[in-house]
Amino acid sequence: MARILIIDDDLDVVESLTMVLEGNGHLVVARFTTADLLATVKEAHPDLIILDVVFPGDDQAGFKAARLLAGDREVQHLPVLMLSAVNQLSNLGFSFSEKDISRDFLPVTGFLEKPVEPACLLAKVASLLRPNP
Amino acid sequence: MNGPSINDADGRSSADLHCREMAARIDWAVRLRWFFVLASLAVAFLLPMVNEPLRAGKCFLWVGLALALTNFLAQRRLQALVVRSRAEAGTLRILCLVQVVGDYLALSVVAYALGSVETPVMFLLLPNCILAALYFPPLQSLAIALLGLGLVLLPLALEFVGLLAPVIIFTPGYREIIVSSPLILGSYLASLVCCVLFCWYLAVVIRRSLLANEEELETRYKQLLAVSRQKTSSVLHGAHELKAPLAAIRSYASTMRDGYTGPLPKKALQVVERIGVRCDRLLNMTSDIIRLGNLQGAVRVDEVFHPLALMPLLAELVAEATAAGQGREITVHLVPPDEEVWVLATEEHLRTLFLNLLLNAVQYSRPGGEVGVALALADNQVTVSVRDHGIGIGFAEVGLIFEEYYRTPAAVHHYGEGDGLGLAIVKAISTLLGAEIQVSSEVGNGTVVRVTFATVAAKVA
Repeated sequence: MARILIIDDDLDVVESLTMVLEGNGHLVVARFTTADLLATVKEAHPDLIILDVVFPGDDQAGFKAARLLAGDREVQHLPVLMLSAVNQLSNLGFSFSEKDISRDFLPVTGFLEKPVEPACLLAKVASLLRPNP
Repeated sequence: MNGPSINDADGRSSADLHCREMAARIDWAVRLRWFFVLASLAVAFLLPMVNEPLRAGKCFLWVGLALALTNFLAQRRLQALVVRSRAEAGTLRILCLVQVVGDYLALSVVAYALGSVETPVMFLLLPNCILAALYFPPLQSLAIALLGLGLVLLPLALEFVGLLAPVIIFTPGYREIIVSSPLILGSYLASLVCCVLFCWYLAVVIRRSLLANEEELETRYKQLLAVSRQKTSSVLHGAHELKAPLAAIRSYASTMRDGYTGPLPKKALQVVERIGVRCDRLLNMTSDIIRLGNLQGAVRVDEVFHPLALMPLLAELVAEATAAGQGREITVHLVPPDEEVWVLATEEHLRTLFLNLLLNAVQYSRPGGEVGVALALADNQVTVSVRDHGIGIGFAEVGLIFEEYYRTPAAVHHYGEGDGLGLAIVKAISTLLGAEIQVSSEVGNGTVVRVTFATVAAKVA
């Protein structure tokens, strides 16, 4: 089973994700901010990172965090699953999908829109943890 | 990823509107001038028949031909400007000035041919004075009016100094009476000058008043747009704020439903499932509110439309609609056309538009019903029709179904979960894509929605 780091400011989302992941044997470490991201990741030694997009005070904190992770040699190999409830284009949000994932622009490994069905989350996590052929 | 950008008002500047209005006015003057061309040519052919001097007939002929040529060139130039959407105020003013001066010259020849002072034909310079006063600044339009006066009076002046032979066309001796009396000639000329100046002054005053009103209207219009944008923005903000907590509630409901919080009694499980369903409806509604707000211009994305093949997308959406109707044994058929059809759009817009129509057709069909999707090609257009045999819409209600939140009582009764925004979104998308929507329906017998697009050439690989 895997060690999963969830970075999301919404306590309730973290709680429900934790219940599902821990219920399936994963070990969950939760953080509620992207501050000191690299130190947090290096300390937690996760196999997978689940990352929110919008954080208080910075609507793009998740994107910045993903780019920061992708730029660090020690952690850039880790799969990152991006989660967002505000995936709709407006003056307050953004529109993106897995098609937008790219090394330079959106360096994450997968994307899911909140709310996530438990079965869907588990399938996605399993696919991201599977070693590349 | 698409970044947001706020739509700046109506997207057109008032200068554009002024130019378009001026272009329309010049176009109107060009069309009116064709009437004078015909009149000049008719007079040119009729004058010799009534034994009038041949010279006058020739003058009218040349005037008619010159007017026709300049008018033709002006029309071509104007069309080119409008087609290229580059009608600038300066260019239009020059075009207008050339036309006005051309008219004065033509009028000058006609005035001479009709005997200079024998007819009031010189007064025909007034319409052009008014036109110039409406579209040029006061001093420029005054100069144009004085130029017109000078040009139409030029033949009379040349007759006085003996450089032109006077033309007598009507009553012999009449011209001498006017010309030999300084009082009569002075009165004639003074009345002409006074009329021109009075009309110029009147037009300048009207222009000033119109400009002031226009400015006021523009200010009010911008204020209204700002209020409307603010309102839509507030709605969008509210909808966004709702999404995150709703997603959290939905996540908890799913977690509980799937037993991650321990086994639930049957009744509690039912309640949790209902919470999940209601959450989904609210999430769909907030998504629809945001989508509609974006489409209606609160947020403008610099979208680029590409040629898209309709058939693969429709086939995919038909499969999705079939899955949605499976529980009630509703079948969805797609009749493919003989050839692939391409339209200019974005995939997301087309997907949203047709999925809304197909799901509507499924939702408002009766169990075991059929939904048909067909494409008809004609005159570089494709009409996609979505036909169901469901509950139908009353004649009086058909015109209302594209309004936000409107649902017919029969629709609410048949399917309680709709949010009343689907067809408003369809309408907004079709407006954005330049497509036309037609609805024909009969209560109890079903509905046909036809969406007509202009087709484009296939995408180059």
